[in-house]
Amino acid sequence: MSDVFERLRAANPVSDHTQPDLDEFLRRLDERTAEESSPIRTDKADVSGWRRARPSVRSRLIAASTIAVAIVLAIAAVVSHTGGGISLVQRAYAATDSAGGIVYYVTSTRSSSGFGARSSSSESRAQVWRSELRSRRLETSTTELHNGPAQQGGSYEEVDQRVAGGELSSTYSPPPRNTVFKGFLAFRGSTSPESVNCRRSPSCAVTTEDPVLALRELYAAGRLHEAGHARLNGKTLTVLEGNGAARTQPSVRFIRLNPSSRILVDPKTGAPVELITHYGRRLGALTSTTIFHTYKHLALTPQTERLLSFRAHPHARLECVLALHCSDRESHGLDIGHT
Amino acid sequence: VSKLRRREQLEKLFVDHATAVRAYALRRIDPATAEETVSEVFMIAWRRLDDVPSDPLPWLLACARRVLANQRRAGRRRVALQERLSHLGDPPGAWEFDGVPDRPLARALGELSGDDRELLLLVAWDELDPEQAAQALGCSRGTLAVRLHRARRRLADSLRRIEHEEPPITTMESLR
Repeated sequence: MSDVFERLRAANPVSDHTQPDLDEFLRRLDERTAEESSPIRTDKADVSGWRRARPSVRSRLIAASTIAVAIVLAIAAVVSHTGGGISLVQRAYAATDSAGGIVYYVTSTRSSSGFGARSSSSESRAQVWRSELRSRRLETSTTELHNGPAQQGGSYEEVDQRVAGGELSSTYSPPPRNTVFKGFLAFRGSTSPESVNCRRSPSCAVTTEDPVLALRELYAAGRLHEAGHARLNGKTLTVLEGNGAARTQPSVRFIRLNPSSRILVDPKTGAPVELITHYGRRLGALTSTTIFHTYKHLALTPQTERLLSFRAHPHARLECVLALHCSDRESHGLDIGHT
Repeated sequence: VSKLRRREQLEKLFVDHATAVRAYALRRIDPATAEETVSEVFMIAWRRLDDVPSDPLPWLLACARRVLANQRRAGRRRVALQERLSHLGDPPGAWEFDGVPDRPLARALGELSGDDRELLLLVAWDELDPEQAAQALGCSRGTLAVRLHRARRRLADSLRRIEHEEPPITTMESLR
């Protein structure tokens, strides 16, 4: 085997060891930080009372401005990609970007399918904190299967999340409930139904789809268009409509799902308010309605960063290869493990 | 620590390790994006300079790995990136690297899982020692040793089979 390893070493395809341009990097660094205050405390005389209070305000301002700049950059990136002005779809896409901070949302989702004696429905309420690198989810769900057990449900807390072999694995507590999102990397974090493979739970197929990731997938695919306005709870909202890519229901592979979505967004911010998705037009096709009760961006600070940390749990197998969003326990105390 | 001092630390970090980070990225992405990745990694290092460990290379490579994954997630250069970045966590058999002159070896690497391949390449191409590789992958050295041993064995098995032109083993899993 050592011969194999030597052979691997010899096959290293990168012989170019050019030193990257330090000056160019520093120029880009200065550009990036130009609009931010320095995140560093100076070496001025110790005025401890003043210093204790000041950094928290300052760091919040820095974080807020960082997020603002990042959102602007995200919008600019979308604009440059399409070469046009900022449409509401583009604004909505930018609104779902965590943009260096944390997107926090509280949703309730109701899904129903089938008809008559074969109907089933589920309701869930989820609280999600999502950054660019990771997310944490608390969920309470209730499922009614008219042709099976009368009712199942419970409250689940995501206690582990890892990416390995192209799969995003989430472990919820209390067990049993594990979800594995196959093709996680291929779908850029999307948990689209075709990529979901639920274990031990008959009802977690489509309902575990994260609505924000589903929206981002639709926005990025350019499948949405503005379709007028609608009133909801006294507010005028913009309607976006479009069809998602056809997909196969994971639990019943021969059924093709042709999702069509209707999204209500805040015309000023692009933030989602309601998402309705019909998975096909046949009688009894699955329909899912998600209402966003809370949707906001949080600055990434040591305090908010803790919201992304999973609590200690015996079933956790954390992957936390970078200290960006890892607590000490996560980054140093646990092995990745393999399944 | 003054801003000036931190700036010096960052510059030293860049001078000492930017070449290795660039080489890491170049093995996984096109040259233009590799340059951007280097820049992004050291931007992060600047923001989190206090968190950079005394042996910074594993931390920086782990950071580069995440940046590459995020670039895909952010949808930048979608078409070009999707093909190349899928190497980070793609299913067995989907990986090809044109730059590897040893084609049987490239095929054998392609049959490994993304995790096995990443581990082997961190050690063989990025020249991390086991301690550093364990840090980069966020696992203990003991776990790393077991995983490395298994990954080597799987690479050797694949290579042996490819060079004897045996058909790939079909498993029930692959038939699903």
